Amino acid sequence: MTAPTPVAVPDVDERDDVDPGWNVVVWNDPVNLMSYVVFVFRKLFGYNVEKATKLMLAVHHEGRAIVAHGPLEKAELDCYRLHHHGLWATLEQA
Amino acid sequence: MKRPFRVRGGRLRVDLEPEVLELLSGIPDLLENVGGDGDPATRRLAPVAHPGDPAAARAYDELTDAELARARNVDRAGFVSSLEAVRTRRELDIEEADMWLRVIGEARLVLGARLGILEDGWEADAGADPRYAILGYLGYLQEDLVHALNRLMFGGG
Repeated sequence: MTAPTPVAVPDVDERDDVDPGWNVVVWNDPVNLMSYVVFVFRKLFGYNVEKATKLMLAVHHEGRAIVAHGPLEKAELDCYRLHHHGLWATLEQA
Repeated sequence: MKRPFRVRGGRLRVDLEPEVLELLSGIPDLLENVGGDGDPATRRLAPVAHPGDPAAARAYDELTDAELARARNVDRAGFVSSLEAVRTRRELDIEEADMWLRVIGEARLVLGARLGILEDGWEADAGADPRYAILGYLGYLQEDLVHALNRLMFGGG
């Protein structure tokens, strides 16, 4: 077996310097079921069960979690879809 | 006790008593009567998207309010018609089940907001108040439906 020669790739997209984008934040609420929140993250964002569960637990234990990120229009659409599913979502500049 | 929602051969079987279907048929009325500044459920169903920026929050509401209302009307109409159909056909397809999850979830949010539930752990001291009992029962149905839909959509529990 072999491994490719490492190539230096910048971690950060340089366009981020121009527009850092928006975070979609989901807040803890006492009524929505944990299983339902995981389901919604998987369905809306295509996250696997591990990632969706990790985000749900962060919401539950820390009170909030950033579940998606992007330009304002995409972040607003994500926020809207979360509201449609009954989750408490807000937006903040990254 | 028999589980209300089961996956058999790739189909979602529904096993609900007529009394339960009757209870569920009251949900659309509950949701249609949400409104007014004094109703804590109003903002819970449409949270402020830009909490620190009133102008951006208003712009977001103007952009999304009508679409959110339209999407919820579609959900409720689908819920009502499939609730009727399920009495005889005893099955839901994925799209219908997805609507049920949202509609039942919304009903729970409305009840929770009106009961003033603000913190985790309310289940422990819900007592004998029948409104809490309904909230808990709808949660049981939603949980079971989530598990069934997980199996159908993602092939897991």
